Amino acid sequence: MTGKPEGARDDAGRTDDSPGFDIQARMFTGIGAFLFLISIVYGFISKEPAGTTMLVLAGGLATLTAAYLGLHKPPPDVGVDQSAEPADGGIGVPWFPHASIWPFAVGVGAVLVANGILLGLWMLLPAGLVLSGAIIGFSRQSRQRVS
Amino acid sequence: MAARVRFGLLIAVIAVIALIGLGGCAIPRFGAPRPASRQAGHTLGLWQGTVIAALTVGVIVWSLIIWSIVRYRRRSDAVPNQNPENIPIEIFYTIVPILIIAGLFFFTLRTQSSTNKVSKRPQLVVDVVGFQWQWQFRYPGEGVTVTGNSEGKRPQLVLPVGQTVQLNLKAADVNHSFWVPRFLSKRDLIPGVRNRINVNVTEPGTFVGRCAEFCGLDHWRMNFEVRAVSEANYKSWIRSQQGRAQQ
Amino acid sequence: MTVTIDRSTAPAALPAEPRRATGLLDWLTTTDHKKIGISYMVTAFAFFLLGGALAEIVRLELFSPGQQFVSTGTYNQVFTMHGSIMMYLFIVPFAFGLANYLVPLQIGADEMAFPRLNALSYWFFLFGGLTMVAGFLTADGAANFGWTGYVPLSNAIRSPAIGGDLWLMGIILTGAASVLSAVNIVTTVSTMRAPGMSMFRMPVFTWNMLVTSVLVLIAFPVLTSAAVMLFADRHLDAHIFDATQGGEPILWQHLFWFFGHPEVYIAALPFFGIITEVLPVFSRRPVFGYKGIVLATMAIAALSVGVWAHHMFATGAVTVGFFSGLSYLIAVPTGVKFFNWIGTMWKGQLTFPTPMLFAVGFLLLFLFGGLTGVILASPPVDVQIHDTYFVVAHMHYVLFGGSAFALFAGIYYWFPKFTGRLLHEGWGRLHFGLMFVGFNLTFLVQHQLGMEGMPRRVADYFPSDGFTALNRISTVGAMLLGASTFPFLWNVWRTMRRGAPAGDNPWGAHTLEWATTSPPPPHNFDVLPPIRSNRPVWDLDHPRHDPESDVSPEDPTRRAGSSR
Repeated sequence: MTGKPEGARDDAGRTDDSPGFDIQARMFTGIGAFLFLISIVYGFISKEPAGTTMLVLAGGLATLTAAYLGLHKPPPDVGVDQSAEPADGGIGVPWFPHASIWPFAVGVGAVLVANGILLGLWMLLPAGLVLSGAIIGFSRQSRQRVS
Repeated sequence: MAARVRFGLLIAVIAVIALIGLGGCAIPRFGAPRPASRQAGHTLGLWQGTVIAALTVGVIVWSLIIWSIVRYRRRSDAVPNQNPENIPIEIFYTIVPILIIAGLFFFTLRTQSSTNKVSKRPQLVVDVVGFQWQWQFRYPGEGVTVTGNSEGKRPQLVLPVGQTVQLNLKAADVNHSFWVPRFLSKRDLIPGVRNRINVNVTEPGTFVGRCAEFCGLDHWRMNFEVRAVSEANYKSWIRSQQGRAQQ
Repeated sequence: MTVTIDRSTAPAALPAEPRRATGLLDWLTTTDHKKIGISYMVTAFAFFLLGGALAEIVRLELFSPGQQFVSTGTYNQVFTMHGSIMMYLFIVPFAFGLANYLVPLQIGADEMAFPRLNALSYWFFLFGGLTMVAGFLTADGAANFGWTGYVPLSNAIRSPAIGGDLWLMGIILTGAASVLSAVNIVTTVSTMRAPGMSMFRMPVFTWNMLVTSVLVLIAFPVLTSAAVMLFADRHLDAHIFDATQGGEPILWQHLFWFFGHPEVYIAALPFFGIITEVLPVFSRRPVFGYKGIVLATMAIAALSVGVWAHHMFATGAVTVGFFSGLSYLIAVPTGVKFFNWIGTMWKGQLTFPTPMLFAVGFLLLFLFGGLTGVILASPPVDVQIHDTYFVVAHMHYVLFGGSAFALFAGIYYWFPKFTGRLLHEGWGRLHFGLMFVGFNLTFLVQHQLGMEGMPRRVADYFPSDGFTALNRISTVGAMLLGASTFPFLWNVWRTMRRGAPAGDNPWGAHTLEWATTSPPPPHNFDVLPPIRSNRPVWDLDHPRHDPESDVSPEDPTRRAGSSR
């Protein structure tokens, strides 16, 4: 009806030979190129080091992201009916835990550390333990994919 | 609205801006104070032109919005036109704003070169020092210093009318900003930044001055005055200040 | 005609949902993007009420010359925290809360890419926000140096109280929350779109959240670094910003505004996205110029990284031409979006339930704020109105007349989807009317106050200044504006208890979130409709052979019939 060959692209607009992230990669490339361009212009016109540095680094951030997206294929399609149990032991398949206390624990640890820095070692040291424990728990949950 | 009508309006807007840039007479000041310096006169023209351009664009776009909500109220359950694009119009309403801001930018650069000019040979140099929470005006060539305090009257920066005055702005502690609304301009006082501005006062009078960068507790009453007087009165003021200093 | 989704054919093999905790434990352990989104929005709205109360204190104090209600020191805390709460704890977190709820639904996914990271963002936001406002509970009070935190005023000598440090810690934590949310959104949009949901079929709200997230990734780390540097100056003798020891106070301004300008677009773009969702539905038309509006959003984001020093024109220390030029340029894509919105309404069949009232209010008010922004882009003009009430007026027209009005449009629009109930129309209209009148009364006169010579951040003024009359009008408006919140809160309360059921799609809306129940089930969709355009639910309701439709069924950017 529109003249587009149906077979070449799947429904999500992806083809076999295109990386699949091409639109995002192009978007980040465009932003990165623009930022590098104005960092050069700004650097020459102003010779102001802070702004020039920030523009260059922001351009680098965008370009790095573009390169990553450009060089990687997207992961396998996640359908509507995926479950919390990984199908093949977990490698390469996304995992969506149903519930976890660890985000809350890390949050508590972080705020206690932040306030402990201000209030003194008496708070900072126990807070550091809480935060470390929470980060360890968070990581262990990912490794074991316990829901 | 037909493209031709829009185009005609654009020409009108550009023409008005050009006229403002050249003339500037008998046009409302749109809330700006009456300019008291030559630099302020330049700024006022740009302000008026920009406001007129902004109001024109605003009236056009507001009209389109209000027209839409009045004319296209639901009349029936029929599915309306589903056209999702119109490339010629989209190109038009991208190009026209670019032209408008190009014009505004041109006039900005032109005005800026006059208002920011710092002469190599000012006729008077005054050091303006801002501190928490008052001002000090030092006339190094004459050995006169005026210092404000938080009680009592505002300190006065006495300037001769018609001369090129260079103000060196120095921050003693935190950021402040030297602002005389009648001069239509301000400049910050920042530790580590050497700011010099030129003022050519065009009429005698007393103009209030304010601190325009938040600097703590008494920022709100860090006020001063510029007292612009004739050259002769300025000289006699200087002499009286020098006399008082010697006592 | 409206097609209801036939759920009898839903796959029967869905695994049983694991037994969930209830009550408090549920809230503490949830990784469901919908629950987290609601938490975010409710918490952000609570901060909005706090920030609004602080604003009322400001306006009450400025009603008359002379100190009536609060001391100068307290006043300085009040306006500092008003700005800080609104910018750091309300407008951006609310947007991310809305995005958390909607983005997976709009792209046909059933969760965000990183559910636990999502929850972590919320806790960082909540705890960081509480830390920031905890300053009010300390002996010397909260931070009092303006939400922009300029040095040297914010250094240890000039602002030694711990409130300033709590403010810095709050910034660091909430900044981390935003960055983690941004990572989540970019990943989710990149990898979890349902089959058929190509990038250029995504709803514009999702596009805007994607672009906003990129801006967050660019801007927030700079703020966090600046906050750490200021903390080092305050407590570790770093002298980074200390001019007496070879440091540079103006460096703070560069760092802050490199963050600060993208920040105001981070505070605006999500809300432009909301408007672009609401207008088509209540005009019964597609978005006009879909690709154009997406490209304009990207242009705004890219340009916004390069204009930061237009906040520094009065410093005398920046290359004004560069920043003025780019600032003028950024008006162009913003203007283009206005024409996209008008084009969406043009020749439509417009109805005006409450979401649409707020959307039209947004169009009228944000236009004004945008125009005063163009005025400010000129350095010679800016140096008169910078740091005056003119700028206060401009920022409130874009942030309140713009983002907040759009935010309420979004609340009224999506409330039925979140809760399954429709907010009452009558109370909604009252809310809109009071808010529109109150807002304009408060802020329109402030343009004139600025031009007349009233600086910003002043605790008081003198009778001889001549500012009294306009300040009184502004204060009356502010009271009306504050009062407008109460019909809204009453509406929410009453609707939660006995509101009219909403059904799946009470508005006849177009995008995927309306293809599921209200509220959606935990896994979001039982059945996804086919996705062949940027309006999958509209396509469901208006099948392909509808002769009145101009749209080609495969690609809505091409017209099936001849051109008009």
